[in-house]
Amino acid sequence: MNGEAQPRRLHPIIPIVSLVKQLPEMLIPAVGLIALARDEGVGTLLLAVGALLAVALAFQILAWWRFTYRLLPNEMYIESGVFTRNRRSIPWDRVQDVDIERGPLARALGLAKVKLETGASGSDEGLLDSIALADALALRDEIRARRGMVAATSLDDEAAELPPVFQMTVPRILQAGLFNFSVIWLVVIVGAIQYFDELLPWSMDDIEEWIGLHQQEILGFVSPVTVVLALVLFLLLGTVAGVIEMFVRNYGFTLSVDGRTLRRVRGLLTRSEVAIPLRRIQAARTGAHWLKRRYGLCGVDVQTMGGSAIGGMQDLAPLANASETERVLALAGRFERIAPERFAPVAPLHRWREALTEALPLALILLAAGFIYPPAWWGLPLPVVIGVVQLIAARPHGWRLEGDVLHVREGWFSQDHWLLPVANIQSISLNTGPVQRRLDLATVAIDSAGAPAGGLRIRDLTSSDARALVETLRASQQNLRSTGRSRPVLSVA
Amino acid sequence: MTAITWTPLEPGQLKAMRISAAITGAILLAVAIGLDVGLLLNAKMPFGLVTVPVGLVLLHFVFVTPARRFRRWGYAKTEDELHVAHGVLVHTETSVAFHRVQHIDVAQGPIERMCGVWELVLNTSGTLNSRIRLPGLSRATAEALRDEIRQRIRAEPE
Repeated sequence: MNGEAQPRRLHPIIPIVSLVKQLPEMLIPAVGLIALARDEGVGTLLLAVGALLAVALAFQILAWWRFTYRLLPNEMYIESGVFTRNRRSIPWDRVQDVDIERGPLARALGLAKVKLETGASGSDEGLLDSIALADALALRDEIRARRGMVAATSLDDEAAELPPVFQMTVPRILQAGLFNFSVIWLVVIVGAIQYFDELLPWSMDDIEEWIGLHQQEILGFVSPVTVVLALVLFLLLGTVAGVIEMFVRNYGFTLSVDGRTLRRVRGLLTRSEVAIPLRRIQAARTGAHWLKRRYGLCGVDVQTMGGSAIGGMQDLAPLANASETERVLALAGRFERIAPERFAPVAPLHRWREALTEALPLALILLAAGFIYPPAWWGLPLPVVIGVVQLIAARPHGWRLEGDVLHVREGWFSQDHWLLPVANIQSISLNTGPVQRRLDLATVAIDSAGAPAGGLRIRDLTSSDARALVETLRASQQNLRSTGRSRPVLSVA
Repeated sequence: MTAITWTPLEPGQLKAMRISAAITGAILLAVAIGLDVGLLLNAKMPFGLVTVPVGLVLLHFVFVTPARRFRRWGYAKTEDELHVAHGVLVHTETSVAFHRVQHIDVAQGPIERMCGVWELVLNTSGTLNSRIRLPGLSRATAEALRDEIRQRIRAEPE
């Protein structure tokens, strides 16, 4: 297009701006210099600092000179790097939007940072930091024109009129709060008591004195009854805290649908409104610990593609019954759960490997410590308990490819069920660790946009099953591609 | 299904791996010697208490592991996917379909420049493995791969 393949550079003031931003990092070498040149007099010191600054500035100018960007007919071509040279091509087809950002410094200098959003998760994928504001605006229009994009529509506040798809009623929030009890609350409460104990003008000891109890009498009170009472009190406090947390977070939780966007409103103190475009949803997950499962309840969240505002996991329903879950899942991307018995289990060795990996190191440490400090041997039941817990927790791990959706289930105490359309798979890895090689096992790790840490893994398949699964997923991907459905068709039913 | 024929990296990459291992090794050895001197002066410990074991591990690290790691690296290009294998302790085989690639980097660090090798990086919109690195390519191979993948992206707008 009008022969614009000339390399362009960032604003010429950038080397100075970068130098200023770099100053804090240079503090340590500067302190070193001052320490070294302490006896040399002020003149030498200033000279040394000046030389340091000059070198840094020269480096920044070189970096600025090396950074060029070109608007080629099909792509943005960015060359950069002083030591490590990098040439990056970003096809226009991949550019989803152009962001312009202006911090206080940029506003003062009339600059703007331009970012090409491609959906890749690297933060600096197509970053021009920074160019003159007028250039930035022109560039944005130019890129949008090439891309055939229209200006992003802003969110309007008329979402309240939409009929809700899912709501958290007060009894439901109460119920969710009761299930929300966890050990974490206990830790928080105990911590808070200790913290406030120090802040208050009187301490717990004073109270004991007030009541007229002495240390010995307190010890006399430690009987099975008081221990049980204390436990009950803790449970009660934990539950109340769980309920309060749930109210603050999810009061008035309403999920509604507006064309091709989900809207979620929630919160007691701060009311948050989030719009989740359906096309950004990559996968869905239902999660429930064993108690919720007994009541047929679970939470639903979806994995959304990274980007500026939303990314990562988004709650669609904190606590939903079976029919609500079906409805929310269908809405979020025509997801359908499968019956528990349809999951294919991973290799039976998985549970044992998992249990041993968790328990063995601790057991060995305790065993060794026992030779130096014999009471450590009393800790040996702990790894046994951990091992048994792992044996139970690892049991439900399984997978199934149903149509174009990969289902993965894991955990017993808290069980997650992932639903990932094959079309949203970014890359597939087959990993085999040293222990796995001896046991003829392998792990399949599947990456998708916005996947949380740990990601979707099918652990400890037999190595032949693992290879077969990778092949099946690849074939399924290819098949989708040849039928022209490289992205799932997500629309409101 | 189709058996994958793995292509090894350029021999220059082995040299690059050895050089960077040697640099890391030299730094660690210097630290070990420093510790030893400190022990000798302050605690009258015999010299070599730290240096000898660290030195032995470093010998292995500089002379044995680079070749091993190099041998594990490999790549294969099929019609519409790139496969990359690497890892000594944990073997990893990653496959990425070309149409998932968001943008492509061809990069070269200072050691790589000395050895005349380039690195191709495929960026996908995934999160855990969003940068699929393939080091140790000749410039011609890296650019040919880049151009081919780039062609694919263009032929397939979303």
